[in-house]
Amino acid sequence: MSKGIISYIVLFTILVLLQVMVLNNISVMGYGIPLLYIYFILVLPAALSPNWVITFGFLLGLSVDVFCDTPGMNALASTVTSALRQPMLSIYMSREDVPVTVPSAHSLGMGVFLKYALVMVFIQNVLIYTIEAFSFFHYLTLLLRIVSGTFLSFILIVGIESLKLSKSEK
Amino acid sequence: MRNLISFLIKHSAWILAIFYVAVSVVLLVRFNTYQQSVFFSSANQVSGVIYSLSGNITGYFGLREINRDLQERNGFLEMEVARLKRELEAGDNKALSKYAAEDTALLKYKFQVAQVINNSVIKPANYITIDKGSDDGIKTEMGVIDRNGVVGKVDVVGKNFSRVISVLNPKWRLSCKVKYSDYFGSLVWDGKDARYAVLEELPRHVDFSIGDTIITSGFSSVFPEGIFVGVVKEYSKQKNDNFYALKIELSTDFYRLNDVLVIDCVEREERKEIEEKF
Repeated sequence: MSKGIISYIVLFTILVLLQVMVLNNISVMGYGIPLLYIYFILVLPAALSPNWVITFGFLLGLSVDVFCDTPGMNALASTVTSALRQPMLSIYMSREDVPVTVPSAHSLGMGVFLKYALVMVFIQNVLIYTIEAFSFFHYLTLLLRIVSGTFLSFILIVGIESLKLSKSEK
Repeated sequence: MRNLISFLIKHSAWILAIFYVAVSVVLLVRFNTYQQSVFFSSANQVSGVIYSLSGNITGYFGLREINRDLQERNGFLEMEVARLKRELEAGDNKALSKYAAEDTALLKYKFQVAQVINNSVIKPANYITIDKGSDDGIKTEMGVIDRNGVVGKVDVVGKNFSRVISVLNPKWRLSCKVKYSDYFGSLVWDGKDARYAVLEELPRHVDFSIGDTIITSGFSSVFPEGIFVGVVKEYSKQKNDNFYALKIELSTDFYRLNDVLVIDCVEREERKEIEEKF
């Protein structure tokens, strides 16, 4: 178990650093940026109490915020996303008979995991760009940001999951 | 009472979520006010160190372009020196005294070189982090420029790092004028493209044409007069017809900021005092 905790701490650190140092500089035509850090919330153990999931979500968002000079924005979005994780997960897990420990493409099946990831990433992107829009509103820009941001984040998660999947099959 | 407690335990996750959301909203709202803590900005110690580490690596990218820009600037300055020398040799006392006056005007300002360690251009409100802080004498409201033109204004100062509010941030307006005219307008970013900004409130009777240079007006103590801002790209009338809105092509390349100068106006305190008193 303690090994699991350490690997989650490492994942947390890597995702935050990757987000603020690399991914925040990537964008499609200056619109959306990939929000990969939400991957941490996706892969927390399914049995973990929702209280912890929400707390981690908040801390994760706050860490990204401190680097991006947007206090509250990422924290707010990831708190809401992580609060919605349990309902989302139960929708997709109810079809499975085997209890799932850690949500991943391996344990849930690629199709189910991708649906779950897409919904979560979409929620996160909608929240982030809507909060941003309070300081600056532009209808079409908002839409483009949400769509391109979701697309980029999703592509990255698909990449990571297929890497993990091919590794576990070996 | 027992029902209440069991209700709280049953819905603890939602209550916790609502609490965190409330905290985030407080942070979001408070952040827009002028006074804010260094802790929640990129000027804090931890993010400063991490950004300067990555800045050490990314600072090498684009050196070729920076080098070319500096060569150009160097050439421009050499031409200027040659021209001034000619005028000095001509022995025109009138011209001499003119330059002497300008020199003393420039003495009011001091410069300090800083390195950009974090920068963004794609957010609706952009900030820059630099590697100099209160230990190096940086204060809020100092102007920041680079070799090509205006960059921004210092707004949060940490011990060793500071945050700069970029020209690409609608929360800040910069007083500018068309070169060789005394009418001024205010420059604001429209949030679309990092290469362009809009100069608003320029009176309609001002003469200008496309390609004219826009410089700082020197009406605030942030920038001296005459720092490059950009050139006029296109113009249109504003709603009430008495003002022009000019699309300005910014001379600063915000995609490739590296070394910047922080400007300190020596008379800032005195000037601020007077402006606030009357």
